[in-house]
Amino acid sequence: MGTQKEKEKEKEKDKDKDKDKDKDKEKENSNQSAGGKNAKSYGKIVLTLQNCLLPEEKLNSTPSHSDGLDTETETDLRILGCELIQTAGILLKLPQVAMATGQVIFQRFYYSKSLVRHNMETTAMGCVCLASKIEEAPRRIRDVINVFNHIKQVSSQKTIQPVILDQSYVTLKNQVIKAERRVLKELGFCVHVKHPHKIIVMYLQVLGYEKNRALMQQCWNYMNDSLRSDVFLRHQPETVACACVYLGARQLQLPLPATPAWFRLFKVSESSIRDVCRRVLRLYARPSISAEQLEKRVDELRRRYEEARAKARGGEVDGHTPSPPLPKHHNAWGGFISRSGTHAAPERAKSPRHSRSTSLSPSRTDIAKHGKRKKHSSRSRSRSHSHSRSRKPKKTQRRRSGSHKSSRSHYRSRSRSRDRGGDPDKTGKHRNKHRRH
Amino acid sequence: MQKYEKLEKIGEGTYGTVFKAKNRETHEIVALKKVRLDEDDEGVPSSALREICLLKELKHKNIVRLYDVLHSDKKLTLVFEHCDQDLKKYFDSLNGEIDLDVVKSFLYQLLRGLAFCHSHNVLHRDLKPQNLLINKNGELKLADFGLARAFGIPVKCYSAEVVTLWYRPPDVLFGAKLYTTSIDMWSAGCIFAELANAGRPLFPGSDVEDQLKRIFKMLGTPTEETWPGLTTLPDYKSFPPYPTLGGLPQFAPKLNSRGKDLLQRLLVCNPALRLSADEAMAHSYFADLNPAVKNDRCQ
Repeated sequence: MGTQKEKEKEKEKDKDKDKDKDKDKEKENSNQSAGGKNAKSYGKIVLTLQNCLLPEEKLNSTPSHSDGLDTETETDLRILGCELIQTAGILLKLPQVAMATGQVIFQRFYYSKSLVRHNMETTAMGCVCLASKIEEAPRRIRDVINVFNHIKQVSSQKTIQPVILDQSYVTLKNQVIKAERRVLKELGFCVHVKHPHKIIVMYLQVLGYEKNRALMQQCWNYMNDSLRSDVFLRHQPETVACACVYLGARQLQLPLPATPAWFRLFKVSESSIRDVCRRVLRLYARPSISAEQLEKRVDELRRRYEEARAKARGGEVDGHTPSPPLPKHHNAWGGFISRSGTHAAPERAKSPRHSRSTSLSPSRTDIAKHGKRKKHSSRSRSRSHSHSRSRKPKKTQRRRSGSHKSSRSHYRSRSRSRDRGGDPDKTGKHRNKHRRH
Repeated sequence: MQKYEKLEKIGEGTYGTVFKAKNRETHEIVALKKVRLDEDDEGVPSSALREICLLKELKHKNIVRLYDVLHSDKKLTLVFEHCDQDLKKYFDSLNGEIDLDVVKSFLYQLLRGLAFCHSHNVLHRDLKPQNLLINKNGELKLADFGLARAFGIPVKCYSAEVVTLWYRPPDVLFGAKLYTTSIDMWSAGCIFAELANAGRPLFPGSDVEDQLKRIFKMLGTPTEETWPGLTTLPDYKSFPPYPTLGGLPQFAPKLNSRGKDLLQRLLVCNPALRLSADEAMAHSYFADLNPAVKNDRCQ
């Protein structure tokens, strides 16, 4: 067993060497082109302090798509990756803006590189590290790895064990560092994200709703959920903010000025608001994701891609930085926040997220309760209290069981209740102590 | 690294060595700042990250230009516009004498660079003579954005350990966590005084307490009346009530009365009352500024 592992490692090393060669070639290429223009630079991304938006054709033909990944699988992978970043951020006690930044840069990255070639989970870890630095709440890579490992163990119902600091840990850490740099490079260091959180506050002030906590909360919930969609690559944050205000007010049945239309004031068009709303609401209508199936699909494509590359070796290099081969134990998103379990799907179905677009009254009371609970939990430090923060009273019944199953739902509900968690800058206070390794 | 030929080492930056180098093709002289990336470390340093992210956006004549970022396996190299020296070194070469027109021109350029940063929602947070670069044409440029950050609408909770002590405003020294562009304006005021004195620092404090004492001895100890909210600052300590004697004008005797007035409006303890960069640029002190400096289009 041990020797086999060693062999594998050696293989990996060889692959790494190959990869370095490829990189060198890449560098040569870029240096050549650098002579003419102002260097190859960063994938021709135009840099502004505004958020980067992508044109329609880029949004439709992604690098993953070119590698044979179907749109549905890619969307599911993106959603999983974003959930991973959100959950990890909560466990790392990051401010909500850091999770938001992490998710936006994660999404951006995969419009430049393929999910088939660049492991989703490693990229997600890199994005968490990077986002924590950008938002001035740096976390050590080791902590990030620990937290991802913890999430995986919890979701796959394994015994919770600390990460062993062996060779595979070192390998993984280096992969995360490389992923962070790859993200930076692909995005041309354009990683500052203007979030609509603060814009929402401003707009609600203008609209005279700044004292309505329920509405504020609701808008934020939509905003945090919207990170899982592609709206931040399609619209300016002001537009997303308007859409969140629109959705929130609609859910709470609060009137907004119609003549002249309130969003005119913020120079946002109705059609773009509608577009954001549609895309966000579509998230809630998605069927549950089977992480195993996603994984299988990507693994198959990766195998195909690597075979093709092996054949082509000696020929031309395609210009893509190949994904580092994964250590065997590092099984992508294997069962992270597993959705394949028996209770995953029904939970999704009864999830408050669904209720939003349709029924109004039940979730309204929900939010009121949530608001109260939030205050309560901000003082609490125990695990069980974190359950009480979840929105569904049903879940609280499970809270003492201590089984892994319950702790799984624990994460989910936390992730979600965090989603609906309030002020991005204050959220840190509401976080509960968490076991760390 | 084939593109640039290293000429000499210029100095040590916040996170790496700086070299003077020449572009082999264009023969343009640049400054290369190397950021080492150790494999077993924490990835790209935050300070480098901040500097790159912000400087890529800030293109202005009074802000040092970041031309390019080169990736390699072990390091990142930032390619900067090269300047001949920094203001500190310039001071050292002065022998205590400075042309007052130069003072005016440098201050104006400093304010113009700051106004640009601030209008793009960027705080420098670490202004000091070492971070102001000057070239042979008498141009001044803000550099070293390793501590800078972009700020959004309401700014809150930035790290308190910011800005070299001597140029730190009293609100930050008292632990204020919610600061704004006014932090840079205080530093600009300190640098103005230092310019006017040909390099003699205004408040060379040895620690936080000494720093505050020096400030209050010069400007008078602020009170809750002159500065509402003062006593509720996190690290507030009471100081003896030094009188407001107007020591500041005496510190810069060579400055004309308009200059002294501007200086006093920049160095106000209460951050809310400090002039902004735009306001300072409109001050009558600059009425007779060399039009070549004033009308420069800075893009």
